[in-house]
Amino acid sequence: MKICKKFILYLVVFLVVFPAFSSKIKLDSSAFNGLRARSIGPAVMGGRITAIEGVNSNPNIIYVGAAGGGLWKSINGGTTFVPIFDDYTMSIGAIAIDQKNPDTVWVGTGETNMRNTVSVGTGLYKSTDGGKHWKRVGLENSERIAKIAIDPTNSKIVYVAVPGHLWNDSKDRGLYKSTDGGKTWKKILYVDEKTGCIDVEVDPQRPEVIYASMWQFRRKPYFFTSGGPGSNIYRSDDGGKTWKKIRKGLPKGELGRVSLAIAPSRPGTIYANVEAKKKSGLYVSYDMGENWKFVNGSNFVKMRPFYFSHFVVDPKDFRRLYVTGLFLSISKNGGKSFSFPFSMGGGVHPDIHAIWINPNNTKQVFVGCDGGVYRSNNYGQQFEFLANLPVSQFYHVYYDLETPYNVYGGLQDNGAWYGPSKSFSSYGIQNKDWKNVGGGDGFYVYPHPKDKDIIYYSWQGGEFVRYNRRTNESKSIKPLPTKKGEPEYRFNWNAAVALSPNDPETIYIGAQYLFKSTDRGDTWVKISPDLTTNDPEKQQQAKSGGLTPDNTTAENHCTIVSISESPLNKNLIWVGTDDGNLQITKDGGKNWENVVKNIKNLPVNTWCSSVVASKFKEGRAYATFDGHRTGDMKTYIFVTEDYGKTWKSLTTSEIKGYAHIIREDIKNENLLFLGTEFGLYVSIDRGESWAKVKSVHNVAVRDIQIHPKTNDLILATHGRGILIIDDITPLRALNEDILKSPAYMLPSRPSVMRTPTYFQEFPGNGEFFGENPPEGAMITYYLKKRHIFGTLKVQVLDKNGKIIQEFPGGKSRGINRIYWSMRYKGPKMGRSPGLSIMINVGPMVPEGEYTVRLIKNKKIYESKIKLIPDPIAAHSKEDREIRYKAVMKLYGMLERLGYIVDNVSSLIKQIEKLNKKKKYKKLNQFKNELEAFNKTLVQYEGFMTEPKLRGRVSLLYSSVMMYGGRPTNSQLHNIDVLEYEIEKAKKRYDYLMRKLISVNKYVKKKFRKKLRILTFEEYKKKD
Amino acid sequence: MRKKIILVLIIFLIVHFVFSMTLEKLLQKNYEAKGGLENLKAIKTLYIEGKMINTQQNVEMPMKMWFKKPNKIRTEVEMMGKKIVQAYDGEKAWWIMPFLGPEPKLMPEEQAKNIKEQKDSLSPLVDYKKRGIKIELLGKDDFEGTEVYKLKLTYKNGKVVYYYLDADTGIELKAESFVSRGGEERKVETVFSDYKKVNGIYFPFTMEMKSGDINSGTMSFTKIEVNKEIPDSIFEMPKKEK
Repeated sequence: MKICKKFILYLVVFLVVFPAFSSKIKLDSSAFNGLRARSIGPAVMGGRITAIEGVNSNPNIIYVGAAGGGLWKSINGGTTFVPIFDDYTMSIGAIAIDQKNPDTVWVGTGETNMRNTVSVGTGLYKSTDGGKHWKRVGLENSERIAKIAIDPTNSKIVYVAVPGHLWNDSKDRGLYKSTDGGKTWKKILYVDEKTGCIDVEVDPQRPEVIYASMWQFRRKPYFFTSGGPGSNIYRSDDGGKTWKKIRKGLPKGELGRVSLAIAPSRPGTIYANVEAKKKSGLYVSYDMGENWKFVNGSNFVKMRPFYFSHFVVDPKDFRRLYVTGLFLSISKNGGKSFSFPFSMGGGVHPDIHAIWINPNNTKQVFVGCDGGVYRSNNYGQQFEFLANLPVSQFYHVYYDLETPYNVYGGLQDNGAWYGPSKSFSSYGIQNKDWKNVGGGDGFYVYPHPKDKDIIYYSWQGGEFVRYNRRTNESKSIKPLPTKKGEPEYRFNWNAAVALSPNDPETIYIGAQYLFKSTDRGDTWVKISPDLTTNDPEKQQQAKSGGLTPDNTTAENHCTIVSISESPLNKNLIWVGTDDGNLQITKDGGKNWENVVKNIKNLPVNTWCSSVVASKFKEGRAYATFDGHRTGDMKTYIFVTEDYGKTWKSLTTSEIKGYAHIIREDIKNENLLFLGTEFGLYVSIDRGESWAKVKSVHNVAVRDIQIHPKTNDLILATHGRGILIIDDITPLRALNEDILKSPAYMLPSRPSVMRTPTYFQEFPGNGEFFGENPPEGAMITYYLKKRHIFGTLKVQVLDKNGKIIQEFPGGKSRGINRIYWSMRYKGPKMGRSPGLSIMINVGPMVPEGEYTVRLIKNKKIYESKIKLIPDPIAAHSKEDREIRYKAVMKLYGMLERLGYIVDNVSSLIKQIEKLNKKKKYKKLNQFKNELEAFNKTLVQYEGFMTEPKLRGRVSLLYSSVMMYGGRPTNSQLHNIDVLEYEIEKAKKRYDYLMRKLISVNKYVKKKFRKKLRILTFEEYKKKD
Repeated sequence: MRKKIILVLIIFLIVHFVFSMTLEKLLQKNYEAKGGLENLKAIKTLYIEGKMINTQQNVEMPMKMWFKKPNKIRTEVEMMGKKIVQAYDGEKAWWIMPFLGPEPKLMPEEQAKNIKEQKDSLSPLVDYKKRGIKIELLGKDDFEGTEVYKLKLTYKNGKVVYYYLDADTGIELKAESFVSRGGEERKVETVFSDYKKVNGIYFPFTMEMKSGDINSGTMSFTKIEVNKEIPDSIFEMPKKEK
């Protein structure tokens, strides 16, 4: 018995002291510390915006929430924004600022514009320091939050409208109240598991008066319903203890979504945007909701309430209203009539969701829409676009093989685009670098693999277009029924389109049938029967919408949503459907087999979000399934090795979020990438274990590509545009042995030596710039633990073993990556008085192989990196060598001249110190001689006067360096001219140094001191 | 059976108490790791030589720093052959910006604030009580996969800086604060590494500055001297042009 006790004691101590460890070393998130994803935007088109709020006492402070791109803050009135919520959830439902303590900010996560592609939230968050730090304060299972209302007289009283889950029943819906600043919550209004709270208003003068709108709604993968007996509007006069329905004057029967807005300047007046079976539209009550009066039934006001509905009343004018919708609707007369400032052009993106009016200057209006944020300074008459928020929502991404390559992709309500992965501007990739090829909701965009003129792109509902970028012509190539009596083709909102990996002229598109074309879409061959469940109950999209019918192809179902032709066999094709079928043909479409039944532990009819045929083994394929549209948020990943007969789950507990896409590396079969609703995951052991890439944050990763030339990982995110992780070569090399070693040099791709380019550009601060890849040679290494004590540094050595660069290096746990400029140090130009041309850029080193050495205390780790000439510029080896010699010669000249300047300038200073009152004539005279000479070498005063000798050498040095090929003959001969002049200067210098000897005798006598100069070696060593 | 469970629970609680971290224990650990409180307290002056490195642009700027307790600081950075001097003598913050002219001038407010804060960065964990700094232990955290303790330091003037201490050794790995610069507010991080012993005290010989995940420069020191004689005059603004 005693032994047993002791044993338990020992065990407890052991467990507490030694945290659990396993013998197998697994990849974890920290491994990717140095492989940072860079954002290339774009922000030329926005992404959907869901909330905008500003600080009343300082309206330069503005918060913007995006549907999938997180929370952003501006402290300069919207000129620039900084993301402040990246460690949390990317889908923002509501923002509220405590205007009495404006550093207190509340954020409700989970968008409430209930379209088919919304993300999910993770509860309510609060910051008390203006967004620097956040704390989750409850409502974890709310999934989405529509509004947060703070009692204007008591900051601790907060109301939160929770419409709740979109796709399944939930008890977490309703109106919540906290009286202790968010510590505890009480549900104060609840109807049932199908009805949530979509709006809440607090009377600014009598804060115990609360209005709430309850909404019954439900989305299915194939249907949406708005409205039902649960929908109603309520008022409480006692802070939510008791409620009464306020319906007098509103339409009888079932209601749908109702939005409310009190007129802040006249709180007895409340407006309601009402969805009803009959007579939807704007209503007003002048007696706190007791009696309602119909004011306006304009289409633009009542349109698509599940998506819009929201409106605001001008803080100062109770008659001025701004209503969201397809277009912004503005009324100056309490809703009697509306104007639509940009219904007919005006350049503002449609689908307005968020509005904020600056209460100090109500002419200033911000609107957020599917296309980003716009700002007006005249009551919404004209708008300017804020091109600074990279929150674009891509569905898919592809690339071409240009250098630098372009990325192609389609976005939510923002069409189809392509843009460069890298720009030659020092600012980075700019909005102007992006080109639009088509509109609508963009999905797949593929450049033709061989014909540079041709781009294929798709938009919602299977619309498919062949675009010619030379002529700008578009041709619709969507397959249409060709035989009489043939059933209509059903295409998903995001219909699958695929290129053949084996034949550049073969393309596929999926309806309920699979179509194949070998003539660029002019002819389609149906190569399958209906591959879906063809369930008629799931094809009622024409009736979708509930009280307000809405059929935009968003609910099209029983369709093909993923296609993959095997890279190893063009007759082997996989197809996944939205109703949960996974089909395979091994004979180019003659025979098909539905193999989904062989997958265990997958709920029936789960959407097959991706299927990928392996390029390493013909029978191998990966598939992901996504059940979130029925409320199943689990991750489903499977692999088969035998053409679908058996499947193995690759889901592990490390993964969060439902799965969108799996991608196999193109070189290492064990390296897999997974995109889920909450980020990017990597496996180096073919799915045994996964690790999250933190720099991608929690943004939805919808598509992943690996560029075959650069080895870049390209991510289509639904909220943060395109992200690129440069060169995944080191990931290919990682294995368990490396993970176990204390340090390891990892391979990188060869580095291109590009001559920098400069453009005259002054774009201001108001635009987003996509980040370019760093110009430099990648040095990548792995550290098992963070380096803390002793020395860690990295050296670059040339062929002769000479150290030409030394860095402090990265010290992080996991992969570190640093960039070497591939240049020698800048020339030592010498100190001199005045403002003169100074160059601190060193010449590029010769191309070839270099040794990189990691020194970690006493251990040394070495590997090689390769520098290659710029393939775009393609100068001959001979020309590059002539240029190199010229640059090096000028470099040497600059240093020789710098040495002279440095000594002469130093002598002048030394004399000035000794001879402050200028009473020693001999010194005066010598100083004058030195100064006269120095003035021929460097500039003393003035701006842009004629450059002196050092300036002329500097200018020639930089102009020869700015071009990667052979210098001009003028330049080459000018080197000789300048060299001659340096020789002349050297003679004069030598004369002065001889004179120094006699001057120094004098100095010694007078001051017992000596004027000192440096030797060239001392000069080179000096800092 | 029930007794056994209670016993296990009590033992668990004792063990938990013994091993759970308090602020005092953590600071003790930190002092030990750096060479002991006595040694740390004995620091009166610091002289540092090194360089500011921007790896990517291949720029290295020689720099020197002088600290004298309680509140004097001088830094010199050489940029393109010109020496930039910034100093604070306990009263006046001044600088010499050769690109603006050779005369020493009083610093504009924003820069003055920065250099005064720089002066505050010298061993706040040792002197915190004397300097009126409030420290809170916020608990365990993760810094790029390394287990750390997070401390919140609130200075007298309201400035907040977070320190991340290595859970293993107690030594500082990172300091983090928010800086308003030119109309934007950004998180600025300083990552400490390459700790080496000087006069029995461990100093970080490398300090990497990061702003929004991106390296904005690294300070690499070649020499640190403790308690070297430093005259007050070098911190004072020269009356006339030198």
